[in-house]
Amino acid sequence: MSGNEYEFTIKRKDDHGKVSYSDYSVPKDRISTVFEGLLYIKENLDQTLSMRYSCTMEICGSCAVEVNGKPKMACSTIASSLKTDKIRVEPIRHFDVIKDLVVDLDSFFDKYRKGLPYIIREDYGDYSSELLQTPEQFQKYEQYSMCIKCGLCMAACPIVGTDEDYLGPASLTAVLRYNLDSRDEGGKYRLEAIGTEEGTSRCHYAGECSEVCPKGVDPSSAIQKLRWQVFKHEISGLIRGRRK
Amino acid sequence: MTEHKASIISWFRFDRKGLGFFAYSMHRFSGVVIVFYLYLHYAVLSNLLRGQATFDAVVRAAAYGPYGIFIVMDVLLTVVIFYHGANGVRLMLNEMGLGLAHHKALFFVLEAGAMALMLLFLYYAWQAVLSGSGL
Amino acid sequence: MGGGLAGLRAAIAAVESNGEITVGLVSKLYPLRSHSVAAEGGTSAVLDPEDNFDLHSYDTIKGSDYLADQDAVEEFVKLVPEQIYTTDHWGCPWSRAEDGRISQRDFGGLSFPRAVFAADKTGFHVMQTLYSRCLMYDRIHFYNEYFATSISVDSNRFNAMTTINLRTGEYTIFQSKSLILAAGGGGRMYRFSTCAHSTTGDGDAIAYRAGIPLKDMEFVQFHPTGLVPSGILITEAARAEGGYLRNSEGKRFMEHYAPTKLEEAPRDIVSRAMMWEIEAGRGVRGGYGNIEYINLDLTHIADKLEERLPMITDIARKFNNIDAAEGPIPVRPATHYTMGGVSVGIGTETVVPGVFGAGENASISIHGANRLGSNSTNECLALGNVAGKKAAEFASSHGIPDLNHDKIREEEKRLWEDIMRRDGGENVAAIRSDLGHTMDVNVGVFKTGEKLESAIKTIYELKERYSRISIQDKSNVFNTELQWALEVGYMLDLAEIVAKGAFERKESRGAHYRKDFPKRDDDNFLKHTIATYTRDGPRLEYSPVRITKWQPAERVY
Repeated sequence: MSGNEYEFTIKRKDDHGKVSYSDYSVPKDRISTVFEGLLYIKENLDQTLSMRYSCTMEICGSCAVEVNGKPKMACSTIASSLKTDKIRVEPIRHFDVIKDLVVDLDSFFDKYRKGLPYIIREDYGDYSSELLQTPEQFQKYEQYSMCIKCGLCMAACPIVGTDEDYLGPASLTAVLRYNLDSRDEGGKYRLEAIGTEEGTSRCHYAGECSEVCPKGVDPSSAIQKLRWQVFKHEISGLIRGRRK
Repeated sequence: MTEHKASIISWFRFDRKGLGFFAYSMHRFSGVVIVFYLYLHYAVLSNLLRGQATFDAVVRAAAYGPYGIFIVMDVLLTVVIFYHGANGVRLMLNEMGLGLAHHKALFFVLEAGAMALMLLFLYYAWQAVLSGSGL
Repeated sequence: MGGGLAGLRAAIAAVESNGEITVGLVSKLYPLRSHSVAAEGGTSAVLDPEDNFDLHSYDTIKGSDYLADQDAVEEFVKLVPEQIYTTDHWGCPWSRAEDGRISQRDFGGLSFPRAVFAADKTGFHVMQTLYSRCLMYDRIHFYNEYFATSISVDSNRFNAMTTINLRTGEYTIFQSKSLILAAGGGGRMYRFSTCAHSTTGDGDAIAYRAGIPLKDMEFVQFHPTGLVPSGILITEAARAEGGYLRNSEGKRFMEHYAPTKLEEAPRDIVSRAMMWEIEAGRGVRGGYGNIEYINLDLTHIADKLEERLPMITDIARKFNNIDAAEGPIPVRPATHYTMGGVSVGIGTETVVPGVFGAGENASISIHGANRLGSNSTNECLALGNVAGKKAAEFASSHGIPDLNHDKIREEEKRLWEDIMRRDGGENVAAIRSDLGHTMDVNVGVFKTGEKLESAIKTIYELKERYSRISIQDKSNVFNTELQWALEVGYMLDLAEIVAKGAFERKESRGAHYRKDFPKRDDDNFLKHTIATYTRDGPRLEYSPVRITKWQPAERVY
């Protein structure tokens, strides 16, 4: 913590799939966050570095990377808070790397879509007034609506790492978010969609998703709540004699 | 698509991970041990098919024979089972939506309770072994 | 083109208005990464029976310093309430009153508390809602991370859009019957800006180069409360909820500048007041180097922070290590919004049939010389909807024109044989940084003829340097340096239009303030600036402002 420079080590991958590590020194007085460090490197030291970034205020979800072995948003990770001058930046795990710090998120958004993450209602088209919802009803799902789809939870989840078909924390949390919304009528379709081997049943509650979530969404508790919903749905299906 | 796939080893990298991850890894590990024990248990029991005498001999060998190590293994097995059971209770409670907000505290409370019960169990078991009526 | 609020809204409107339309949503980002997610405070809509459309129109027009086209504003305010209810049905968690109805709050320059909001994450929640709605339709195809480089217009029809697929580096051509420009504004031509790094005016510049004129580009809004030193937006709601601005003497100086509205005056007025204070030596100096700033004091409304302003409280804590309930937040005016954009009519149509514009990318003009806070997200929703419907209508009655191969090849040559092969040793990032510095200093809150001349001179120099750039990254996959180079090219064009437009506008109006002409001049400048592309730079012409009910009057808050 004594020097004037941070030592960045960045994991690279080029067009041909060759993996290497590059080292850079970044003056401490020029940057505050890890993202600013990366931008400083790209602007001044090495123009070939590729990364994603946009809002720099932790709301767009672009700059998910692994900082010193932990999935984080680069823009909101204050470099001095890392308690070391050595900063190791790698692409987030459990995704294919396209180049350097840029990973392929298509699978993530495909999985997100599988949980039918939108309001389902019978009365489409009549938009002449709002649907009543009290603040208490809102609070039920408020926390789960804060997800920015950054993918950190997927990178942290040990199950996603070993089973690439597992829908993952973000996707399942979105299901709960819509199921808990008092304006929604489509809960049963969603439970059918995710009450599968690759849905809630695959979660073993390691809780790492909640540890790394930058928005305090707590996906792991969401999945447990969802599991109970799935259970009740299955039981009521059995009682009604409906075969799955 | 398999380029990023992690190995099972990754389940046991605890550095910079939370308590939930530790509980999860240990739950998996203890589960595997219990399954292994279950089959071992079957294997031992299956000696009954070869007659009472054979079975008694095998069991005596395991419990008192030159391989005292088995007693230690039995104790470790108890630890594993009690750990797994207590965490299992936590998971069930959580899955029913109970105690989600305090799941880490719940882990400590249940594990502490389980370990206390285990010590009690081991105490009585040891008494039984000493008095020779354990079998 | 564009995956933000206006783009998503337009895509949904198009597929819902016609069961056979398919929409390609081309964006240089994943849609949810668009800067619309960063909109914080609220969106104005007339919902309360005691409020009325005329009042909303009047506020907007007065806010615009009478440069808005009044027929467009009147049309627009009527479209907004339905959009609020529509997004509510689609799942947007608008903040509620106890009885379950949508609640509204006060905002800068409003005469009635009509800003609908979702805590201080309005843009974020509306974006999530629209994105989720898009997922219902298989007919909306997402083309994520395709960077648009040009559009070609042939025999007065939209012909094709050329893009680079960032993931592979492939040159990709999109053809369609109609095109909606919804790529946002160009706030990043300034350095101290609340805008995302991706807000580089691509849509404006591409349209301009294709011969579609831009309107009122010299009007650039400065948001009073950009967090020092990062420029992160601290929502106007912080002031609307009762926050105070204090100078280095601890005084609430707004009473000198806007005696009635105080901190809740429109953005241009507050920004100027803050800069006057800083120039008078009453700026605060603290732990951020030489930057002088103003303190935003929220300590007296500490109990409201959790419910109404959670995001900025979180931002202050995470980025500046400040507890907003305990101490003041350092702020300074930062570039926030470009009122100008592609010149469109009330039906969002441009001069080229088949090309429509919506959102910050377009100028209709509702915002005139200064946009009121809470009038941008509603514009994206209302006019995005209009643009989507109009584009679908146009598409169902027209075919796809034959591809003009010459133009496509010409563009391909420009990208790979010109830009990629330039080798003069100039660093793209350095040009961008110098451009930002010039714009901050010379085309900022206070402008003078002298400063603007110097800015124009610098922009010419930068353009010359731009012709000598060297792109170090020769790879095809995710070549973000090439992307930077193209973006800087766009911004240089736009900066030239902004500076020249500002130089020619010898008056002060709304966000445009000339120290050498501090008064509004309705006799000579109650008109829109229209900039058209020529080889030698923008040709500036003027068009009249349409006035219906409200004659220009002095603007007092």
